[in-house]
Amino acid sequence: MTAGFDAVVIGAGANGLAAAAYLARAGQRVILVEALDRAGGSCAPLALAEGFSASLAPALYALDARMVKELKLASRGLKFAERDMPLVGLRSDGKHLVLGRDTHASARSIAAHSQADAKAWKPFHRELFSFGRAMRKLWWEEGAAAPRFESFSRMSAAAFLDSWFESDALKAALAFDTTDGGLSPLEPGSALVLAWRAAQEMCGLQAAVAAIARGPQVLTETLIEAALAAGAEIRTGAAVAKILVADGAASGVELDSGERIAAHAVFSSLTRQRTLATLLPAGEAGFAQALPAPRTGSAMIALALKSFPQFAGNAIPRNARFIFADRLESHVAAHSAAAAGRLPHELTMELTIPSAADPSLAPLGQHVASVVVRPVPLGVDAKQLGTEAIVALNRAAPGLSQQIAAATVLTPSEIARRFGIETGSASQLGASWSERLATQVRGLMVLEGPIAAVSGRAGRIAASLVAREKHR
Amino acid sequence: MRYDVCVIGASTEGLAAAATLALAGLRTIVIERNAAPGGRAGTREFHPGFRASAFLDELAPVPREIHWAFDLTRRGVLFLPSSPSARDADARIAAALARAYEDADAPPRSTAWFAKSLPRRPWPGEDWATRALTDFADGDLASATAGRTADPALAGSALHLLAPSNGGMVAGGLGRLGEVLAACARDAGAEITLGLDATDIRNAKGRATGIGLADGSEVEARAVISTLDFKRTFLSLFQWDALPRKLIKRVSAWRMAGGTARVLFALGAPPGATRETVAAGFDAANLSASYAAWRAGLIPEKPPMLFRLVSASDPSLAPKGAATLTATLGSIPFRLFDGAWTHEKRDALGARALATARSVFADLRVAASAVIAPPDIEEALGATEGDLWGGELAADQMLDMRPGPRTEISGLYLAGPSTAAGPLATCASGVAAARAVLADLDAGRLK
Amino acid sequence: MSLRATPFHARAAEANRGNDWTLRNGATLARAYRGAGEEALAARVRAVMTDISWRWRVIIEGARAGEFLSHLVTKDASKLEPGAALKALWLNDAGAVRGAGVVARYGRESFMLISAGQDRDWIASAASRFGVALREVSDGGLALIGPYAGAILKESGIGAAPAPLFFRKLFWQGLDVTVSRFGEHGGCEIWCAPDDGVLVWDRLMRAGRIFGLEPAGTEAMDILDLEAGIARPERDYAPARDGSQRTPTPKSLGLESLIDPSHQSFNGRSACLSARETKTLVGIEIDSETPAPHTPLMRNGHAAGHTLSSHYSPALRRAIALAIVDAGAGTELSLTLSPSAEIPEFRTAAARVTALPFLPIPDSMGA
Repeated sequence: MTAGFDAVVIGAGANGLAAAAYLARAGQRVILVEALDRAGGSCAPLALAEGFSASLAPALYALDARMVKELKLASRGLKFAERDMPLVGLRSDGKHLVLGRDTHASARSIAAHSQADAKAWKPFHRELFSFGRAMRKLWWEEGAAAPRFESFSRMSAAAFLDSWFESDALKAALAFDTTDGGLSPLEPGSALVLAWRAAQEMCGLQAAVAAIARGPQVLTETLIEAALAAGAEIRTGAAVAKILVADGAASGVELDSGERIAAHAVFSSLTRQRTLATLLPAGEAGFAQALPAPRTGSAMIALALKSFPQFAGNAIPRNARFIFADRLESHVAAHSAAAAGRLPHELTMELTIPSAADPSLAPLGQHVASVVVRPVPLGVDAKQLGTEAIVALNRAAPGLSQQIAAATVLTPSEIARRFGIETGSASQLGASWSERLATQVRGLMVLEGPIAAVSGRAGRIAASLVAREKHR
Repeated sequence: MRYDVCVIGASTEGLAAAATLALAGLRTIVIERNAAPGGRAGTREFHPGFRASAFLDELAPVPREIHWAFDLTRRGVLFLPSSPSARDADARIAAALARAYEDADAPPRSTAWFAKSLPRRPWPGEDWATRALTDFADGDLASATAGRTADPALAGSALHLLAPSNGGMVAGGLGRLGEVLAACARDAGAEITLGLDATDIRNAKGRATGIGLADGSEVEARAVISTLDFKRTFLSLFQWDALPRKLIKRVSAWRMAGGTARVLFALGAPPGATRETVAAGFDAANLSASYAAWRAGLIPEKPPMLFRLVSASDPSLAPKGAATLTATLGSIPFRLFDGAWTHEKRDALGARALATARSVFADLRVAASAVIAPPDIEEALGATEGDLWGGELAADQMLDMRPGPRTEISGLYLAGPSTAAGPLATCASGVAAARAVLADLDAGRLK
Repeated sequence: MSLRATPFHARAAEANRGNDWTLRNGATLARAYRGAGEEALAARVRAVMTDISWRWRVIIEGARAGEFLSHLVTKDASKLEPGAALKALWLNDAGAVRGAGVVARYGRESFMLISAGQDRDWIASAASRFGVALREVSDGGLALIGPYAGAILKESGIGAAPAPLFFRKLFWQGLDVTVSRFGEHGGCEIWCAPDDGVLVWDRLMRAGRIFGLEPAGTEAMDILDLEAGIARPERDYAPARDGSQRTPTPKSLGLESLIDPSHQSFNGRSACLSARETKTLVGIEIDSETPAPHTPLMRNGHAAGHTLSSHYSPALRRAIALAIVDAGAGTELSLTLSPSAEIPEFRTAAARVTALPFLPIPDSMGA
């Protein structure tokens, strides 16, 4: 039994590394164990082709600003290639919607589809952002929910968007984000996902979507540096077989190798479901925790392109999030199909081309593209998915398929296998942090944010909760 | 003529409210547009000798306390329950009703909806807002969704269990309930005026002072109770500039989900040996597809249909030797994407119902049929978009998210399908509104 | 096997899917076929058929049969015409109720006594003093109850029902049957030879099909009895077997109408007429769905009597009970409901005295 640690952190994703760094800074003796041979979680690089750098998380929106500041990640090398990616709703008639920070410009773009919606854009944007800011007390710290939270939390994204807008083009583009976490845009709580994104702050900008220069693995590197500098120990290639419990309290972990590490606090980066169901001794978790298992997942397709895609239609910025969805109903139908185990007839996807802002990611003149297809059935066939996705991409950017030098298709199960990431669910958006992080086992915390995203916030807050406990 | 309370609509809710208020000694009048009282609790002779309810064969149960208080059985209302209801659903509904009455008896909350972030007591039954109907292993999707539209696999669909239609048929037809409630109200001292439309709610300086009638006359009252749904109450009975902006916004955003159609069949003889109730198309996949079609303004390929041989339970609904068969269809859009509801479209719907009926009943001898489409429901009951439940049964429109009984207009109270108690039980929202009026009078909040 | 089956048992067993049986007077009867509540409601809206073969029937024959009966029962049976019947009580020497039933006159010297409870030994011993013979009868009996009972009778070919408290024999498509109007629920009874039971059942069910006729078990009949305010022996009261027992009095059971004060010779007459009974049979409406049989009643914290039998009334949507109390209609009471599997605790429920019957008997022979 390896002794001498106060805390064990399982998983070297952003949350795990943040937790380790903060715990170490608070004077705790921390060891972080990572099952795979390299740290990073979803920030880890993804194999594509020589000279092309791809990842599961090319665009981030939820990175915890406090963590970036307090762990001095910028001085350790964290820089952004793109700070504020606009949202582009691609239309088959070429009248693409461009929604960026400039609300006037966005309104002009919307006006091509609906004058009424163009007028409604600014007030919508203002209200959503204001509500998002008001919700930070709950989502960022341990504060209370904003007024109107109750009614907002029960609304479906469809009802919310329908109440503001009439044009399918606009609703379709906005609704893509609401399915993050596996909800259908018709389900209660899906409107809150929009508010959640609106609440975030990246690079000092509210609801910005940013890309890290040289790829998200830089985040991992800077976090590792911060953790090590604070005195944490990190071990890769060390998978946890089980969490040890004594008298209802966490007492350490046992690795696959049989080695036991004693500690009085254990932090798990795995989903609550997996942590309680697979890592705890039977009976410790209690039978009551029947969390709904996610019925849909997201897939990722990385493409090495010989040239930048030629989008048909009006001019659009190159470093944007391109949304493929014809109507709001497309997301509804996709969820319905995916939940029933079928590949949706119309794939709803988000395409980003990180090399547009960051040429270091691909050889000169060539590009790397990331396509998130969501939702897809959990058991989706990679080949069928890849084929259909490329057909859809080709329709928007004719000739794209000829430009593909290499492609990697990652289904939800492949993502789980290669990156150790399970499909999470957008549950507990209304819960407080202590509710979300705590488990019935004293000293065991689950590092889960309201929606799975590269963030670090859960790690920071979990560490601070434990530190607060110690001071009592 | 000055009254204490004027009730718009002699529906079950309006009559229950009027009876409660009159028994408490208040001068009460009920104004009803149709020639007969009862609203949904009505029986229609759709073919000589063949009778059935136009809208639903069964309403939500009348809470037993209300049943006892109005002595309904001895006055001639005999409920014939068809299926035992789920005990769990019953318990939640009873608890939610108790909460609705508490709200009615208590002083009004701040009129700005959820203006303050007060610590909130959960509403009984609201935990179903995150559950899907398919989560319930023994779930009877037919009885949970008949006449409505929903995807049973989506979270929130379990809320349909809070809008039951299992109160039982009434021996002699649902119309008996309407007649008896009207008698209760009259016996208690309330006046009921039939065949007269209320055209507007008179108001001055944010206070309701009475109503205007279609014949040009006016009824002055200290309080007005509207049993019309949320949208119809405010959008058709007020000038927009008289209403607070926030209320207009809320009313406009209130979503209706009318999806009911009915086809009534007069049969020459009862069909061959068969069950009395047959559900067709209520599997989860078909319900989901039908819901998607409804959202697109299309009539589903296979609309869910609940057939009921009502004369088997109640022989008075058909001549001797004959039979009456009802079909309750769900996911039938009020607004079709390709235009209005014409006679041809009604006939086509009737033909589809007949075809499905023939596939589930042996030797069907149809003498006549009648089709009631969503616009017909709107016309007959004043139910916006033909929605019998006063609004979509979604998580943000159920229980405490529903309006009433008090409104932003002092002296104006809401009973009827759009209120919290509306879908839960019959007569309950009327009693809740009456209790709110009485509480406000007692506390001096009404002049 | 000693099942003590009635002549209709084969058909009852087919219909009794839930295998819910009970014993009454030693005979095996279905307690409920589909559900007592549903069957009780069907009796009010359509029609039901129930097996009443369990009722105790004796033929009383002899030259002094009429004289014997005028001493036995509280009305003058000797005045009856053949084909007519009366309802009466027989009392013990102290004027308390020993039994209640129907006396039907078959012929000049031949009567039948039909009763829910049997009283063989006492009546036989009394009869022997008049030289009158008693013969028990075990025919099959079915009661048809409900608004469409009359229509079903016509449809079956039996024809119109006799007037209340009359009966007639007829030859019905090859079978000897008797049809009577003895019951308390406005319906009629069909009596047949034991061997003809199944045939009679089938014919009636066939005729009743278009009216929604269904079989009803004993529990549904108990509910109807209760709703009609009829106290039954063994369920609501113990008949006075001891000669000196003064209770139950006819008045306390609501059975005074079965006594003809001008009839001079019935047993226990003087004790009965001079009794000062303050308690009456009343109905108790309980503000609950849980029945409360044989439960103490409280009024303002003081004991006020107790309930007799109690059932959930599906028509009234509440539990009801009979009770013998000294209180008028409208009196507010309370009682304690016993714990059950669903609600494992004692609860207090409000209750109130109401006049009987709870619900008027619907007209049966109209349609």
